[in-house]
Order: sequence, then structure tokens, then C-alpha cells
Amino acid sequence: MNTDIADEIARLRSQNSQLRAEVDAMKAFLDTLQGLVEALDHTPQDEEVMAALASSLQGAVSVLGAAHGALLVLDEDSDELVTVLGVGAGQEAAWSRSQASVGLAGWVLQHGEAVIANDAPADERFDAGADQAPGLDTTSLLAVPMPGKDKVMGVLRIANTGAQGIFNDNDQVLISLMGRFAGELLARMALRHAHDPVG
Amino acid sequence: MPGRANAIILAVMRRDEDPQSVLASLETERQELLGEADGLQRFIGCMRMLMNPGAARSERREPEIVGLFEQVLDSAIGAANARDGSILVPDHRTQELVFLVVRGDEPHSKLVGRRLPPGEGIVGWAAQTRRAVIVNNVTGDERFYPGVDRDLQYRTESVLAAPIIGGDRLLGVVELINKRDRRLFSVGNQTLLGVMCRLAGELLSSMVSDVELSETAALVRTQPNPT
Repeated sequence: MNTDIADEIARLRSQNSQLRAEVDAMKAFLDTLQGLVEALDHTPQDEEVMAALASSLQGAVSVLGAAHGALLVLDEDSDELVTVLGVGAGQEAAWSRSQASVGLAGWVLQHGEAVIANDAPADERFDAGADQAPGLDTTSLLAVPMPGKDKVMGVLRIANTGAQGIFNDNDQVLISLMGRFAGELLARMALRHAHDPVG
Repeated sequence: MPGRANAIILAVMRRDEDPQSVLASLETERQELLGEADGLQRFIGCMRMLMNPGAARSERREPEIVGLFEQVLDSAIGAANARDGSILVPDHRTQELVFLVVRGDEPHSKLVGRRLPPGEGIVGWAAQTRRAVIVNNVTGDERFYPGVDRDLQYRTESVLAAPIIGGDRLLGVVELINKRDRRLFSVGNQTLLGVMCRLAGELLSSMVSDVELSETAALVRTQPNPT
């Protein structure tokens, strides 16, 4: 076989393989978002909600090539953000707590707006305790609110993107989309348990 | 004739190994992947717009609503590598489906404002059952409504349709016509279109009421054909 053609075939195979991986990751993530939306169609069990959220969070980390993802929910009684889900690198951070007004995550919660911090430690709002999973040095960070009906239910935090080293506007749109549906699901879950005894 | 069958198989396999054939096949795959990636990027743009609608709602909502559906259609056509497509919206007063947005060759622009009776055509089926559907050979499918092809002197070969649903309401139906390069729509295309329509529908449902949809449908009926 002509060497030039062989090289061209190898190059195209490699490019197609990379493109296919990117397209498939995006489709897989959108598919997990549909899982969240479908959960809005009925009254799912708590386990189903958590499974749908975990699946979406894993999809979010995969599609952005990030190292870590966390879902933080506001505990209004203690005014703290509680990490209820964590996926990817770093030590298990589930159920860790931080003050609701601290760090980039706290800023997102207070302002109801997304943040991209591609040099997170240099951002004056950054707080090592609140903004990174134990055992993982946060370099870049994308955090979006999870809006409920009339308040922000919590924050989605994605750390250390691998692809270009920086998060971009499209990444923010994708994670905000997840935040929107996740917030609505959490709000309904909270409403359902509004009269449960605490403890 | 097993010997001849083997010879044919071997000839086909040899052709597959021919470097020029492999190159051509990889290039086709690349174009298809680029088309899908472009459609997905457009979809992200569409989601951005749906999540951040204009701060002030204008008096006349029809242009805004048409614009939203145009974004959905363009991203769907790109993601499925379709040649043409349209979005029909329900007129809740008459239960008809109305062509709101149309993309494709020139004759298709005549479709804007055209109405289909309830349940008519493959789009009517998708609207009534609320399910996505692929029909890769429309002539063999009894749900296909040939009237549009006849009027436009167009030839529909394959159709991929999916309902746009949000908040348990039917907001429209996306209909994609004829995949590029005369290929067939795949189950993967159907799944992706279903997901895109579901996500867009959920966001649209909080922005567009049934009354506004019906008013928009009524307005496009009165517009003159652009051709």
C-alpha cells in the first residue's frame, strides 16, 4: 500500500475515533438528562431521584473530561452546603459540609448565577475547604446553581477539566441544563418530605 | 451455487480492503460525525437560548416563538444529517397541526401555515401517540400522507419524527425528511432526536402557553407564501 495513503488512513481513523468518542459522550450525557426530565413526569422514589442525579453527574464529568464532580445541597437549618454526591478523583467527599456563604460554591448559591474559574485558586472567592474535594487540588472549576421553584436548592460543581484545560461557555450551558432539571427534582423531593419528622 | 457465493463475498471483502475504498469510507464517516457534532453544538446553542430568553417579553410573541422553534429545528436537522425538515405546532382550538417552521429546498417554504387534520400523516401519528418514529420507506407505510409531496412535486423517501413535549403538554412535532446521501435514519438518530425534543420541550413549556401557540399558528396561516 502506498505510504501516503496508509498515513492518511491512519490519520482519518484516529480523527474519527476521537470525534466518535466526543459525540458519543455528548449523547450519553443528554440521555442522562432525559432521565432527569422523565423523573419530573411522575413522582419518583427518592432512590430513583438519587440514581438519576448520580448518573447525570457522572455523565457531566465524562463529557467535560473533568476530574471531579459534586452535587451540593443547601441545608437551610444549618445554612451549610452538604455534598450529597461526589464522583471522580479525590477522596470520597459525600456528606461533607461547608458554610453556605463561603467559596465559589457559596457565591453561586447566594447569587443564583454560574461561575467559570479557570484559575480557581487565584479567584478571591475561592476557598480551599469549600471548593475542592479532599485529596484533589482544584485548578479549574465550573459551578452552577440548581434553581428550585422559588429558591436555589444547591450547587453543581465540576472541577479540573482535562480537554483544553479550561471550561468554556458551552460547558456552562450543559451543566446549567443539568442544574435546572436537578433543582426542580430536588424541590419536588423537598416538598414531598416537607412534613416528615426530622431526626 | 456455494462457490459463486464465496467468490462474491471474497470480492466484496477485497473491495473493502482496497485503500481508496477505505479512504472514501473513512471520509464519509468523518463527514457524518462532523455533521452530528455540529448538530449537537447547535443544540447547545439552542439550549442556551431557551435557558436565557430575552429579559423583556415583547408585546408580539409570535416572532420570538417562531425563532425558538427555528433553533430547535436547525439543531435537529444537523444532528440527524437530514436534508429537510419542519416543525408543526398544535392549534388547540381546532386540534390541527400547523407547519410553523420549514427548512429545505424552495418548494417547502410554501408549507408554512399549511394545516393537517388531527392524526393525519406520520407527524399526526407522532403527535397522537407522543412517540418518536422512523419510517425509512414511506410508500410502504399507511400512516404516510402523500398530499404534501403531490402538491410540492417533492419525493419524500424517509421520515424521522418526534413530539416536542414539556410539562405534559404537546408543543409541537419535529419532522425530518430524507437523510443526506440517501442513507437511512437509524435508531440512534431516533433516540437522539427524542432526547433533544424532550429537553427542549421541558424548557419551552415554561415559556410558551397553549394560547400563545395557537395564536402563533393562526397568524402564520394568514401570512402570504414567500414564493
